[in-house]
Amino acid sequence: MLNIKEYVNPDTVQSAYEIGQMPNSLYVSGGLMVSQIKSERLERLIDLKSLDLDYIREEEEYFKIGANTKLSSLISHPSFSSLGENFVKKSIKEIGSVQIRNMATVGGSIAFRLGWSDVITIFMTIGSQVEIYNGKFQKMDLEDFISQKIKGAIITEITVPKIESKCVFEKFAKSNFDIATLNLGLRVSLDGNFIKEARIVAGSRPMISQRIREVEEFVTGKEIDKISDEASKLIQKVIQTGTDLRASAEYRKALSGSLLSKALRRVTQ
Amino acid sequence: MKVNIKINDRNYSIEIEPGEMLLETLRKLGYKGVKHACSTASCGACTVQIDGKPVLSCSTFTAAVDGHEVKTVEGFSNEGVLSEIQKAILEEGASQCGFCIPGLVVTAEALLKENPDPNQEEIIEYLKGNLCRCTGYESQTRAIMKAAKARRER
Repeated sequence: MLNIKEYVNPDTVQSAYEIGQMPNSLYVSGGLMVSQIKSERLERLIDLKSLDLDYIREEEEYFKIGANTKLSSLISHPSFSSLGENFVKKSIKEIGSVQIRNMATVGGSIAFRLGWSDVITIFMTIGSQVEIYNGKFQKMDLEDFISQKIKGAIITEITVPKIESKCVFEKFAKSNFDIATLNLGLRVSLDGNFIKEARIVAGSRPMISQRIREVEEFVTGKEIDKISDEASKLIQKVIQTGTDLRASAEYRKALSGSLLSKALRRVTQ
Repeated sequence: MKVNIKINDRNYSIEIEPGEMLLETLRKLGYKGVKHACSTASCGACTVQIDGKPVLSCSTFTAAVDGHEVKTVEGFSNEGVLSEIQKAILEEGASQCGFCIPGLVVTAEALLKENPDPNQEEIIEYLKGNLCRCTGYESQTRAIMKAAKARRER
């Protein structure tokens, strides 16, 4: 049990934000992360469930996803789950268990900016934007959001473009239920066999997800079935990794090469 | 603070602590089938259904369940008569120490509701959040396939 004084359910984003500015307050979305916090200083939890942020709306060029949407809803939504030739469905299914996907929300999975987050890697791979409320509504690339420290903001919506590129998500973990030792997302637009555009994102390095731009540039314009070895060597050279209880930095570097080779092979299958 | 929760078709209006977890509330109310194990959302022993979906009660704030419907393992048997899944678990020797079984039953009930005819792979995938350290998973998978068949033929 968390020894807090108050659990509040505001019904507007503005009022939730105002309460959130009070000291020792924390927002709750799915609750999975907050329930693990052992802070003695925490006084107040602000439940975001009443803010009507549980939706997936399909527009002409984008999907708009409310921040409180559960990961399981992403899998069960017919058109969103099939985005990127079923990329969303396949990759989100790699996360946790049925129970966890029924609890974890998209916004909550991004807000904590956790290094091991598969959700951040997946949404960065498809080029998502985040809408936050920080006294005013603001929209920014997910990549920019995770690199900034915006205190007290509420994530309200994620915008995902209706991409036509091919995407794959690769994850190495000690069991399929465990946190990734390394995860990697690859998105490519092809012109025949040639890569027109590429996006490569690696997470759980164990630092937070990051685009590997040098490798993206290297593979662009080249034939996809002829670059695996060189791309694999290059990512091992340029990726920044660290050591934690799951793996050493060197191991993660080697792993990045294997995951990228696998991704380049699978993306065309 | 006060919350209203329906548990196994019975309405409760109860006083809780603001930071109380659903696992604690349910056990205080006598639903001891909900097991306290890892407390880190890792093992699945505390699984209950909220509005029909399996979730982990160790990591769910009771305050967040206000106005919702909870189903524990006790809600799946009928006045002492075991459900098909529970019967099949006994018949297939899928329970040894039994600690993980309530959570497994709750998750398996959700699976069979979503998919009345799951194959082995689908069962393993759906139940990967329910850890068992005794019997392993083969007998459990067998039991769920057997229960699914019994339910389809009912």
